[in-house]
Formats: sequence, C-alpha cells, structure tokens
Amino acid sequence: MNILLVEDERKIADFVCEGLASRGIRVEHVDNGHAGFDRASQGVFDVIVLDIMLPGRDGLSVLADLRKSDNPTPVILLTARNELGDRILGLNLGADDYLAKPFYVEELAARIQALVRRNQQSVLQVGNIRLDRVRREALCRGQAIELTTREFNLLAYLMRSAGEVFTRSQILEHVWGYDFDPSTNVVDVCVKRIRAKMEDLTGVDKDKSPIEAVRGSGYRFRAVP
Amino acid sequence: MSMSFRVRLFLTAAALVALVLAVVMATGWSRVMEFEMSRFDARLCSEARRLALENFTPDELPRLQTDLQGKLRLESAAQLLLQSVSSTGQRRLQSERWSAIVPSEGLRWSKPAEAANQPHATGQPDRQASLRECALTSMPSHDDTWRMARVDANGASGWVAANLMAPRNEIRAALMGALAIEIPISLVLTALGAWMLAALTMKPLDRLREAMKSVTPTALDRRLEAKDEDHEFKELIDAYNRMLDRLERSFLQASRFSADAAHELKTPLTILRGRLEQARKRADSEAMQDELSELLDEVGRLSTITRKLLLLSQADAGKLELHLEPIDLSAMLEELIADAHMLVKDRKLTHSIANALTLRADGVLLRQLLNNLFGNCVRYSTVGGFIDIQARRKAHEIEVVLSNSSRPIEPAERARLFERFYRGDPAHSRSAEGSGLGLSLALEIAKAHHASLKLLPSPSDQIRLQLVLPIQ
Repeated sequence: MNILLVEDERKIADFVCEGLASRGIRVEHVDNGHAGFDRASQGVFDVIVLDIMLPGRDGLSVLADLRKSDNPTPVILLTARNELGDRILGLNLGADDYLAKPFYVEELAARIQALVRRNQQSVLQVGNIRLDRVRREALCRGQAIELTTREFNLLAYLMRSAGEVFTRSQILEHVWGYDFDPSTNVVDVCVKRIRAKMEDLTGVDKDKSPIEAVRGSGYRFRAVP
Repeated sequence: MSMSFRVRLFLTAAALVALVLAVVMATGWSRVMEFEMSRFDARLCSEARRLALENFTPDELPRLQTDLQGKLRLESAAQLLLQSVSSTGQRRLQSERWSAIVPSEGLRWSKPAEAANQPHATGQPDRQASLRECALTSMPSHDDTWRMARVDANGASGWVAANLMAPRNEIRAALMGALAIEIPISLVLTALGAWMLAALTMKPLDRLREAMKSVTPTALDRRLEAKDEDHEFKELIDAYNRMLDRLERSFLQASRFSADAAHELKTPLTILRGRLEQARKRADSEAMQDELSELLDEVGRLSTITRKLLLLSQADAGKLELHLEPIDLSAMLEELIADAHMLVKDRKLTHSIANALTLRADGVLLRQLLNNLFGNCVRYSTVGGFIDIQARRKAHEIEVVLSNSSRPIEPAERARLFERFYRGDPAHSRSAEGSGLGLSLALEIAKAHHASLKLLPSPSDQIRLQLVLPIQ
C-alpha cells in the first residue's frame, strides 16, 4: 500500500510515517502544498493524507485542484482549526474522509485501510471467527452470532489488526466517535457482551476467548498461533 | 402599571398646553370684563352729564327711561334709576324706586379708572368732559350690584344708575358663545400637536432601536449612521458605536484567541498522542504499557475538552457552521439506547421512540448533542432509579424528552445546569468525571439548529430535559 502524506509539522509527520510503516504501509512525505499537488499529480497512490493548514498552498486548494484535474485518489483531510467549517468545505470539495487533530495513528491506519478496501475483499477472517462487512454477518465456527452494530464494529476493529493491543480510548473513538463521553465504561461492557455471545455459542470459556484483555491497557484479538 | 414613554410624553405635552391655554383664557376673560365695564362706566357718565345739563321735567321721565334702557341695553326700565337736580337745588326728576335702592349716605365715589385710556374718548370733547366731571360708585342690592354715575356740571347734577346683571350677562353670553367653539378646537389641536410632538421625539429613537436590533454577534461590524441626526442623538449614536467598537474588538480577539489556542493545542496534542502510541507499542514491560495507556486516555480526555471548548467558542462567535443532511433520528436514538442498556444494568431503562423520525440537521453536531444528553442521564441517574426516553413527532417538530431519577436537586441548582463548567454538587462531580461542558454545548448546538432545549418541571429528585427539533 502506498500513501502520500502532506503535512508541514515535522514531528507529526515523523510518527505518522513510523506508525504507518510499522503496519506495512509505505509513506511518502512532503511538507508543503505545492509539492503535495505535484507529487499527487505525478505518482500513483492508494490514499492521500492531506493536512489543511499548509505553508504556500492550503490543503483545500490542493484538493480542489486535484478533483478539477480528475484525480480520483481517495483523500483523507487532517483538520485542526475551525474543524466544522473545514469538514463541510472539504467534503463538498470531494474529500473521502476527514480526521480531526489530535488523532490516533491507529485510527488513521484504520481509515486508510477502509478507503483502500472499499473495492476489495469485504470478508475478514481470523482463526475460526469470520466477519462479512458487507452483509454485516459474524460467524463463529460456522454458526452465526447476533451482534449489534457497535459490537460488530468493535470486533472488526480488533480483528483487522489482530495481535495488537488497543486502548479503551482508541476503541471508543473508533466505534463510538470522538464526541462520546470518555468517562463511561461502555467499551468494557461491550466487550463483555461479545465474549458472552461467543461463549454461549461455542462453550469457549473466558480465558480462551479470542478477545483478550490486556491488564490495564485495553484489548487485543488473539492472533492465530 | 408602567406607561410607555410615548404616552407619557404625549400626556405631559397635552397637560402643559392645556394649562397654558387655561391661564390665557382666564386672564383674557378678566381683561375683557374689565374693559367692557369701563366702557359701561363711560356711557353711564355721559348719560349722567346729559341729565345734569338739560332741563328735564318729571313728565319726561318715562321717555328718558325708555331711551336710556335702549342705549345701555338693559332688559327693562326697572334696571335703571335716574335723578336730576338743577343749579338752584330743585329736583327736576327722580325714578320711583330711587330711595328704595340708593342709600342716603355712605356711598364712596371714585373717578373713572381708565378715563384717559378710553379709545372712544378721543375726538369727543363732551364725552371727555363727562368723564372728567364724573364720579362713580357701586351699590350692592339683593339681585345684583348697581353701578351709579354722578356728574356735576354748571351747578346742576345728574345721576344715572344701572343694574349690572344685564350687561354682565350679555358679555358672559358673548364670551361663552365664542369659547364653546374655541375650547374644543384648541383641545383637539393640543392633543394633535402633543401626539405629533411625541411621535417626532420617538422617531429617531425608533430608528435607533431598529438599527440596534440588526446588530447581532454575527453582525457586530454594523454601525449606526449618525450623519443626519440631531446632535443630541448623534452623541447617543456615537457613544453606542464606540461601545460596539470595543465589543467587536474584544469579540474578535476572543474568537481569534480560541481558534488560535485550539490550533496551538491540537498540534502538540497530536504529537503527544502519536508519540505515546508509538512508545506503547514498543514498550516491552507490561507495567510500562499500562502506564502509557493511562497517559493516552488522559490525552484523549484533554482532546475532548479542547474540542468542546472550540465548538463553544465558535457558537459564541456565531460561527457554528451546519452541514445539513437527512438524519434518521430514530436510528440514532436506538443506537444510543442500546449503549445506555450496556451502561446502566442497575437502573430501569424504558423508552418509546416513534418510527422513522427523520429531519435535516448536522449529523456530527446532533450526535454530539444527543451523546451529551444521554451521558448526562447515565451519569446523574441514581442506582436503582430509572431512565426514560421518549421521542415523537409533533406537527412540524420532533420532541425528545429524557427523564431520569437523580439525587434531590434544589431549584437554584437547576437554574445553573446549563452553565459552563458547572457540575452540580462538588461532592458528586469527582465520581461523575464530566467536563461540565456537556449541557452548555448541547444548548448551543440546539440553538444553532433553531431547536429548543430546556428543563421541564419535575419532582426535585428527577431531571426532565426536553429537546424540540424543527424538522426542516
């Protein structure tokens, strides 16, 4: 996977590059709008991650010109100032998604993968759990599990990066959105319910549940041994 | 009851004009009476002189009486008294009722008061003479005052007395006749004038008020035009404009500050979050991972507060932009109710959501609003208590009512629930861990959607919040 990152803040660019690279995503980084437009027009990228506040030429004008020149590459906008106005303008100009600063790199990775996957396979399988994102079906050892939207999204988020630990905040932000009250224990309750549903179906007890609680930190989906 | 300024102005002006009118009429009336009386005196003097100078005989008395009655415009001969004495002291004639009315002594004579000022006197020597030689007196009687003139000329004397009732009545009737028309006309004119004066005074104020109304937080750059105003209003407008200048400056500063602050905060927050994320992934000890996870959660909390503050400052500056799209409110509420079900096992949760409640709204902001309201319900409802959610269509609106049991809340505290950073009883706020921005932000989002959000009356141990959203 090949990503273009247009971001002037070097420190942000550094950890985004590092974070995405560790997930096997190749990142090319430029630090201003003019270079961003040139690279986006010349190269072939799966997704362009575009900061709005840029020196020289701002992200929205880069986006507008890309769309004017019929460049269909999916664009994720990074917004900081006047987030709402930028979001509206950005989506009207043809952005595919937006992410408000501050964001988790995990979340950015998830959004990138979601955009890339749009036209690719929709089925996610880890071990004996299988998720069909289009039909929103969950199968455990071939048997259907009834999951709510939240439960399905949570499971999909963990399964996509099986083996990695996600904090409660990360899960909350991805599944419930960043405006959900962070003081609730809704993530724990939701995980508990998914586990209970799997347990009912398969008789697998808690300690061997595919969703593993990492003490204090959060949760991870057990990678297939 | 307080009167409007316009009415007060009108009444004051009308009362003032009416008062002046009354004073003018009263003084005018007495001047007219005085003037008419002195003319009457002059006529009496002139007739008395005639009686002194001419040698009348008693036979001529009836003819004289008729003649004088006509000249003095009396109603009857009985209102007239005559006497004439010749130079030899012989009485030429005397009216019948003379001795009944004229006292034999005690009369105090005076000269005609304004003899010299009589306009009719000029060019009439005998009249001037009659005034010069004349003496006047007044005699009270049972029906009215009598006025008597006496002229001594060439040794002979003449007296003429007349009852004043008739001339007085005549003048009064003439004046009343005139005033009967004048008073209503002048009162109407006064009222009209006072009303126009009040309207004239109010006009610049009305104009000012309309102009002031157009100044809102979104149009703080508007100024009032002072060019063609009178200088009193010009000063007022200048003072108002100067106040607007200061207001706009501080408003711009405040909103620029919050936008800048948000940007300045978000960049380091993003870096902090990214670094912590990377560090947590690389950490090899579990203890270290736990530590970093907690830090990440705190950064998440900080980000949420920054975001809410930015939204609030945008709402304050009137810059909360809405991206309207069709929203399935029923689905949104069902999702939140499912969340609430997960969170409140120890409370009774009931709900009744009408199907297919759809409206046009900003999806992100509306979700934020509902999240805040639900968060409030979950956070402040009591263990063993209840939460109830109702949503239904009402004509062109959708009404959502959220009720929950709570600890008893005083009316004074209820009034402060929508205040920023207000979290109720300090003893409860620690455990609840809200930022205290939820309800005030919800209120601003509701306002931006032309929706209303308010507390409904309820028992003190309940909270009932009503959100009414327009469908279009």
